[in-house]
Amino acid sequence: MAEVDLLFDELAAAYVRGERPDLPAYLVRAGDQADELARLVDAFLRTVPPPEPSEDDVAVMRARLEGEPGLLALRKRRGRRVDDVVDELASRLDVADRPRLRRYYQRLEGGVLDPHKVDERVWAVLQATFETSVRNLIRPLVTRQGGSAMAYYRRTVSLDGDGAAPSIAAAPAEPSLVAGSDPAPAERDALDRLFLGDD
Amino acid sequence: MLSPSSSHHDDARDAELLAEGRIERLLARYELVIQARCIREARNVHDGQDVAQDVMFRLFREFHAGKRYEGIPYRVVVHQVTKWTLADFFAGRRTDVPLPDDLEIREDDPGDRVVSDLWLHELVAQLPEAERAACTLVYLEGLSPDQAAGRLGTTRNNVDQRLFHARKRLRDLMDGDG
Repeated sequence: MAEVDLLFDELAAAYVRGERPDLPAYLVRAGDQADELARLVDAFLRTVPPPEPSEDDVAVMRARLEGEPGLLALRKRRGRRVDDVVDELASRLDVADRPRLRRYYQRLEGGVLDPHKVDERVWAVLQATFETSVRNLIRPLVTRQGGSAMAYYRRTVSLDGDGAAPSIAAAPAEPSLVAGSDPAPAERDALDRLFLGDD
Repeated sequence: MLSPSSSHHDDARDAELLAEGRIERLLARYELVIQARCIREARNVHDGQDVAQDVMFRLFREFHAGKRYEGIPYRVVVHQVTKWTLADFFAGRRTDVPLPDDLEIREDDPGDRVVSDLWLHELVAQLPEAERAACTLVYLEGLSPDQAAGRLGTTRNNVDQRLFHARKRLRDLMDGDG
């Protein structure tokens, strides 16, 4: 049986159980069959009603619409301290430099680290820690200019009343949560590469 | 777990949520659906995630702007807005700006065939009994193939074989999607 079929069955069953499967992680596991897996998953999701989201899912979505990074909202909702999460990461990833790991985690949680460059092992630990996939929660739901969806809506209503589209210039001028610059260590060690990638 | 009547129930549930203005719950329900389609069509996880983010933003804006697309199930609206956003992406247009106000959604749009016409439980119902049982347990009830094998008193390999035709139908479905 093809690996892609095994991965599909695993993801499909998890989805139907109401879990939040980490699609990008499955695609990484599929390797050169990622396109085929993506096709199967897309077809499957078009033909089954989506399960009811958990209260955590809804609360996190609400936070993202308000411009708050979703992982931050989830951690607060779960009553976990940053140090609790850092302890998990340090232990499972065998990282000795805890202060630097903490800074990296806080930047990831705050949405100022490019999630695309974060190592799969980090996502796996976070998924185990929070018992749900968090990769897609990192970024708040913002415009490319950094304005939150809720702020955009409030601005739209106050400007137009009828909900007509405001001009791009009318988007709220909020600090961008996702465009922060990464530090560029002269030489990246194993910890740097976990959060910044290889290049 | 999904029941045979859940598709109709789900459209009604979506309409209820929309009427109550619970847009965050609707977006949370459909996030993976949107992401999967965007990643498949962009053929790139990073681009797909970016476009999916913009689809979510557009949906949020559409409904907060008061659009309701009366009579059109929410899932069809989701797929149509996703389709428009992907079209903008492939055309090199911005995908993070509001949709034009004059765009209309038609349920009989051929592009939405796979959204409207086929449900997995209907596909599964057409399969021979042995295949139907395995597919129901894994794809509709969420058991792992190993758990399904135990429930059916057969081997994991046999369950894998019984799931084959359902996967083939799904692949055929996407082949017909152009």
